[in-house]
Amino acid sequence: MSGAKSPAYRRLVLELALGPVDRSAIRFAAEFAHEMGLDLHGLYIEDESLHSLASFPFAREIRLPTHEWRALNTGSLSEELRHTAELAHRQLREVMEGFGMRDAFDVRRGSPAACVAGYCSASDIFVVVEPGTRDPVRWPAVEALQQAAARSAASVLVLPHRLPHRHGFVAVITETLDDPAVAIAARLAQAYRTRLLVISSDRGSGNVIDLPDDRIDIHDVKALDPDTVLRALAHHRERLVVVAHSAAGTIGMEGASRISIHRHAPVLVL
Amino acid sequence: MSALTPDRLYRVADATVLTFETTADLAPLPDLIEQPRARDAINLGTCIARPGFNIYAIGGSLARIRQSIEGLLRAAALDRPAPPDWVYVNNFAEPHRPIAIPLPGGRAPALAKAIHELIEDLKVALPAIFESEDYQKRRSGIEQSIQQRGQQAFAALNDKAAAQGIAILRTPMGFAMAPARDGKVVEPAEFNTWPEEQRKTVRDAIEALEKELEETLRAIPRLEKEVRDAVRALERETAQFAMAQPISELKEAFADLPKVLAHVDAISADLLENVQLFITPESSGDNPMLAAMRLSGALERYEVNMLVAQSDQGVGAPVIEELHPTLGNLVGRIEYLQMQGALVTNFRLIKPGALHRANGGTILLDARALLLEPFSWPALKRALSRQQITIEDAGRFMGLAATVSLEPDPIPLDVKVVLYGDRTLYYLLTQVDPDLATYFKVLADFDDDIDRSADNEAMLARIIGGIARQEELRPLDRSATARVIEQAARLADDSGRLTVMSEQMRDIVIEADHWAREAARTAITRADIDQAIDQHRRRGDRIRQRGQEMILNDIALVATSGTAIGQINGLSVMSLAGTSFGRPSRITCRVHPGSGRIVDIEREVELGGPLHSKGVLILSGFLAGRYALDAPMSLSASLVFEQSYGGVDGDSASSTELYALLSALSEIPLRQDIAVTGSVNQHGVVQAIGGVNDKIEGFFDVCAARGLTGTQGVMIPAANVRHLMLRADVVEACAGGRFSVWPIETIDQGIALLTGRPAGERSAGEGSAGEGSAGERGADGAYPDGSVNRAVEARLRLFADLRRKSDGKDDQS
Repeated sequence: MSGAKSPAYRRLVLELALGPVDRSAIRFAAEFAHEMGLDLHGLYIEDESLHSLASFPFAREIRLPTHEWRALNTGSLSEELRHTAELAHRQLREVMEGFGMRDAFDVRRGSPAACVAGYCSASDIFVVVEPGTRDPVRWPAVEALQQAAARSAASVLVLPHRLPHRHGFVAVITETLDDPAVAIAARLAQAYRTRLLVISSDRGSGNVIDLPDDRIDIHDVKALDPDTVLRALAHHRERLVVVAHSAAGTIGMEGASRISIHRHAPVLVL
Repeated sequence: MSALTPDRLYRVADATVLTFETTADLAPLPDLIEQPRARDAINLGTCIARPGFNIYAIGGSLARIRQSIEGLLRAAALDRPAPPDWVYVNNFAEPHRPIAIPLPGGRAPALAKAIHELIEDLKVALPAIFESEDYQKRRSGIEQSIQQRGQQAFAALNDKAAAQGIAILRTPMGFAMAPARDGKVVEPAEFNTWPEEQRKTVRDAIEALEKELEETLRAIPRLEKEVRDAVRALERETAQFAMAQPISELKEAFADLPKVLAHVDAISADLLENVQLFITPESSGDNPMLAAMRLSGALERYEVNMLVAQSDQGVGAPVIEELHPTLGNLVGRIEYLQMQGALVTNFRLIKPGALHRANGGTILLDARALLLEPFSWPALKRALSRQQITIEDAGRFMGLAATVSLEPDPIPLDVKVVLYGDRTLYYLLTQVDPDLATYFKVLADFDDDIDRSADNEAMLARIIGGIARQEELRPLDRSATARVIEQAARLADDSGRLTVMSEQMRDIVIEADHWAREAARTAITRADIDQAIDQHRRRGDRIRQRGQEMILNDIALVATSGTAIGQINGLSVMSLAGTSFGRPSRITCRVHPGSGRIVDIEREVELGGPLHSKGVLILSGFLAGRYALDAPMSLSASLVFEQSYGGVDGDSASSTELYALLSALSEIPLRQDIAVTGSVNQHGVVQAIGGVNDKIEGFFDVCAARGLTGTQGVMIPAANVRHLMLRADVVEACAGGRFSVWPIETIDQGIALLTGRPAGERSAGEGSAGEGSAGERGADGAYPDGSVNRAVEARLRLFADLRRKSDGKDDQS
């Protein structure tokens, strides 16, 4: 994650190269973009390593779900990559049309980390969808992508594989109450007409949040590690967790992913 | 021959029993007056609770029968216990075979309500518990623990591969391995620069790792299944916890009904299997199947289809009448819903039929309506035979329905079926359907009329009063009631009987009420009844009037004065659409020597029916038996209804035709101011006929239109005198000596009146054994001079002589 991040976001970038994405996740991304006033962009990254691999004469792949081995060649690989990109594009376009959004979809070729770094700027929120139990084999790739996103200038929105409910608080995890992320979370709470739960280790700095007191709950914690945060959230129901920049270092991408999985909630790491 | 006195022409009501001011003073009378036979039959039928002892009620007045039976049945039903309620519920094992469950009367609504509330409660409770933190935590825990195993296995493989300089890559369709250095795939050009041994080592490593990758991947579905099973077990456990209390309460409320308890257990088991149906759309994600099932009301499968609830039907056993007994209305039907272009159904769309509603009680059906509906009569017999109600689909019988349907559990049938209908239909049915006797063993035959005793007149007055009260009409005063009673006798065509065809009396009273209202009277009077009867007759009078105009204009030739040989006025009755009237017709006869055959011209041209022909043939018997006993009958005669262009049937003109024949033979003219009706037997005895009142009035109308001369009248069989209930104007004319009605017993009486000459009796001579004996001959056995019979016999002898001579010439030649 880069240093200071601007809260003036413009794009929500949804990576679609790692296989079919849960439709509810795409819908959530579209709704989120709608609420935040962001443009939703689809990004499909063709891993250049695959093209190198296909050039080996002994290259072959095991295909899912049949577990059948088949020789790889550059021609068929290109065709399949193109087909997968089209499929992802269509899936995204259908949801975007439902929200009246303009179609935006890009294909990049290169190493995923480099593509993410090159494609995303500080005004972007990069969306990573957890693969879920059904596809554990995708975890390494997703982890790699999460790390790449974390290293990029963009903020990251981690979506759980299943989105069981989308009501409840907006929770923000922050070290300091004056973190710009708190204002963003407050704005989201207002947009969702819900309360804001602030989980903070900043004791005694007073309420500087632009929300009526009866719409805010502040939960003081000693430290902002994932376990503490999960304990703090245990008795609440949240629709979105925002990890402020000031807490991002402590929580980390891995921690955000844990919170998302445990809470079945989207986690926005600013 | 004396004409009948006015008191024989019209029997007035017995004033001694009409002691009220208006019918409002009379207590209403229960139905089935003076119908002991029918009442006993119905009582028997309702008391015998054995298969086949159903009731078939027949009679002329269907409305009266229906009303009477219904009253009896309802009274009997009050003492019988209320039958059970019936519900259909889903068969979770075989959804196409819904289960029928009986419940004690009145408890079906409670069950339906209890199950509905259970489902409504679960709609709230189950989603809530599945969204609870506890559940989500446990589910996440399960998923993560299993997921971690997969991840760890894959990570271990990844690490092992990396250690050997191999990268595992995700391709669009699966996984592949490639040589790597520093985590990056080695370009093929660089790889080719490696020593052969190193390249082989890498290839061998890849080959070995591929097997491990395959094994790792093959383990994934097992892990997924483990997740599914574990999550399902958790769902069941969670749902069971949420359902335990409401299910237990439901079972407690119906603990005395094992079938209900079994169904609640089935619901419980199904709920556990399909708990996903209750989870909110948000939590079920994008599962289109679940969304579609919700849209189609999948939760309805737990509801109860309340087929019959006795609380809807009042106290005691039900008495149901089905006026439109289609197959579906009788045995129930299965309805369908159109869904995405297909017809679908479920147990909730099973609709009860009249047999379901009447089960445990009585069903009342109009036999004609039942027989007119396709499939209904056989379906009723099947139901009675099997003693169960099976819902049958008419569309399937006709091959119209090709969609999936249901086979609901048949429901045991214990019903008393009461059919009612006219006699003709019943007797026809007994001939064509032998099953009738099997399923309808009790016949309740309602008389159309009753004896006209003083008591029955009094009872009829109460019925008339009941009609006025039921129809919210003005009450009838005493004179009006008497007039209706008299009209009841006229409708019975017998001054000694009273019709119980209440529809006709109801019509008269309703119409009379109209005229009373027009005249601003508070009670219906005799004048109103007269007007109602007259107006009713007038409305159907067009054809009679046209016929009379033709007679008065001499288009249809009917003389009402003078005399003529071989010509007489006969009388017939025309019945059209509930009205009837008498019509005079000229009957003529011509005779000549011949083979002894009387030609019935009507029959020759196929306008005469068999009864008419029979009457004519009787004439030959009469002639042969009475005249020219020593010679073969050498008469040829032709008889015809002049200007008759329609069919003629009945033998009521046979005496008339005989008079014309005797006149033609004797060449003695007959009076044309007399019309004649009556059948005759071979001995010359005049016999009763039908429609005597209409016939007399028909001739009277013609005579009156031409001007009554005082000599005109009608000869009727003496046996018909008791049937006379003539119009007031006819009676009045007779009382004034301007018209006459003569009762005739024999042909001799009639011919004397018609010719003004004695018929003549054969004098008793030697060896005479009376008429018909071939042995009486000679001067002593002859009819007296100047008598009609003498002239007839002389003419017949002449014909015989002529014939003998003719036959002799033929022989010589």
